[in-house]
Amino acid sequence: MTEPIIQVENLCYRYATRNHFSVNDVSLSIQPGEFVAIIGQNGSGKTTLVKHFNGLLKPTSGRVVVNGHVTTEKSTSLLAKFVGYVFQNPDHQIFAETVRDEIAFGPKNLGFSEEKIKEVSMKVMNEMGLTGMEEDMPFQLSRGQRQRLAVASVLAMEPSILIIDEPTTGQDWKESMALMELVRELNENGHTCIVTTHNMNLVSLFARRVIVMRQAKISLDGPTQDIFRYGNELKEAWIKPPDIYALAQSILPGVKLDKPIVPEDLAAMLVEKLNGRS
Amino acid sequence: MAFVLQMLEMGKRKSWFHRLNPNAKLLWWICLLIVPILVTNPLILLAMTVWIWFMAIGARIGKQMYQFLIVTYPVMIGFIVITWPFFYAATPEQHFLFNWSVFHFSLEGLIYAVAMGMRIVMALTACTFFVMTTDLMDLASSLGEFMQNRLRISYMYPLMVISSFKFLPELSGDYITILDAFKSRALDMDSGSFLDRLKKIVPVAIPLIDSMLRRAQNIAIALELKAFNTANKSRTFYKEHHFGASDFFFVFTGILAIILCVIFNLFKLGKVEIFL
Repeated sequence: MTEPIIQVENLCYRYATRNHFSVNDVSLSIQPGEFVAIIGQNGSGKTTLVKHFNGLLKPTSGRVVVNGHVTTEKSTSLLAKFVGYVFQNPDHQIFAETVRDEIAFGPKNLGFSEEKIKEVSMKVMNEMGLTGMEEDMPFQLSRGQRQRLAVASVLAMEPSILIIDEPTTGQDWKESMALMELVRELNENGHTCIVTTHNMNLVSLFARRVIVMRQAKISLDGPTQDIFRYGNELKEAWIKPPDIYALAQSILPGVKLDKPIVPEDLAAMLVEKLNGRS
Repeated sequence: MAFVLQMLEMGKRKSWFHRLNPNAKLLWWICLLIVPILVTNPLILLAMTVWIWFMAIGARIGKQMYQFLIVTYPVMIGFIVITWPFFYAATPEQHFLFNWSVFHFSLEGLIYAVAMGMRIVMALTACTFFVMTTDLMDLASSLGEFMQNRLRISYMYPLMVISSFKFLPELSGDYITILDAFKSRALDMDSGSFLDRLKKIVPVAIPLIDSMLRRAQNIAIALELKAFNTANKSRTFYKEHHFGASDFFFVFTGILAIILCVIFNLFKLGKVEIFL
C-alpha cells in the first residue's frame, strides 16, 4: 500500500464560538488517486473536516498530515501547492476583470513563471470549457460558468488534491453532471478528489469511497456500493440512499456488489436473475 | 473577527441581566459612561469597575469578558499610562522621576496617568458588559418600537439600524469565507510590507462588496414582496418590550452611580487632584 496523501489522526476541532466539538476524534487516511465523497446532514462536520486538509483550520487536538506536511506547521498559502479547495459559492472568490486574470491569480501567488501561467491557463480553460471566454468579465458569466471558473482557477495551481465543497449547489442536473464528469476526468488523470455533497445520486454515480459524518464523528467509511446498503445507519444520519440502491436491495436482497450500481447494471442483474428463474 | 461573533453570541444567553429590557441596559450604559467624565479619582473608578465585574459573574459572562478584556485592557491603557506622564504639564514643585528636555516623568504625572487609564478601564468594562448581555437585534428592535410608538418616527429609520445589526454577523461570516477562499489560492495575507498587505485586501474586498450589494438587493426585494410600508400604519412588533420593575431598578443603579459621583465631587473626593 502506498503512503496516504492525507492522514488524519484523532482530529478534534472546536470553534471559538461553540461549546461542542464540530469534529470529534476523527481518524482516516486517503490514498493518492482516490475519489471520496464526504456526506452527512448540515452541521455534521463535513466542511470543518475538509478545511483541515489545506490548513484553513488547525486542529484543537490531533494531527493532520497532507503530502507529508503536518498542517499545523504550514500556512494555507503554502499548502495550496498541494491542495486545491473550491468553495461552495464561486462568487466568494471571483474578483478579477477577466477570466484570464482570475485563473492566473493563484499560479502568480505560487510564483509560476509567465510562460508556465500561460500554459496552465490555456490547459484549464480548455478542460473546463472556458476557451474563448478569456477576456470575458467573470461576474457576467452564468452561475454554472462561474462555478467552472472557480474550479479552473484552483486547478491552475496544479494541486494533486482537489477538494470541492458542495459542487452542485445552485446548479441544475445537467450542469451538475457536467461538473462531476470533469471531476471524474481529473480523478482519472491522477488527482485525488474529495467532494462534500448532499446529492446522493451524484455520489452513487461518481464517488468510489464514501465517508458518512454524523454528530462530528465518522459513522461509516467504505466503498460506495457497500455504504449505501447500511440503511439503518444512513437513516440515523438523516441520509436517504439513492433509490437505485433501495430497489436493488428489495429485488435482489443479499447480492454482493463489487462496484457502485448504475441503472444499466441493475437492469443486467435483473435480466440475469429472471433468466436464472426461467 | 471570530471574537466579535462570540461577543455578539454572548448577548443571546439567559440570565437576569440578559432578560432585562435592552433600552434599560442602554440607559444604564449611558449613565456608566457619564461616571468617568464626572470623576477622576482612580479608587472610585476602580470600585465601579469591580461592581461591573461582579455583575458580569452574575450574568455568567465573566470568563468570556475576561478573555476579551485581558487583551484589550493593556492595549487601551498601556499607551496612555506610558505616554501621559511625558506630556503632563511639568511644574517645578513636582516629584520628578525622570526629567530631560521635553520629557518629564513625575510621580504626579504617573498618578494622573493611572487615573486616566482607570477612566478607560471603567468605560471599557461597562461597554463590554453591555454588549455581552444585550442581543443587538433585540436592542435594535426595542429602539425601533420606542422610536415609533413614543417619538412617532417612521419605522423605516429604525429598520436601517436593525438591518445593519443583522448584516454585521452575516458580513463577518462572509468575510471569513472569502478570506479562506483567497488563502486557498495561495494569497499570503501575513507577509510583505504594509503597502503589499493593503494591495492584497483589494481581491478580498471586491467579492465582499459584491456580497453586500446582493444581500441589500435581496432584502429590498423581500421587503417589497411582504408589502413593507404600504399600509401607512404603525406596525406591531412580534416581541413587545415593556419596562418592568427590574428594568427601572437596573436603570436606577446607573443613576445612583451618577448621584454618588456628584456627591463625591461636592465633598471634593471625586477628582484625582486629592492625591497630588
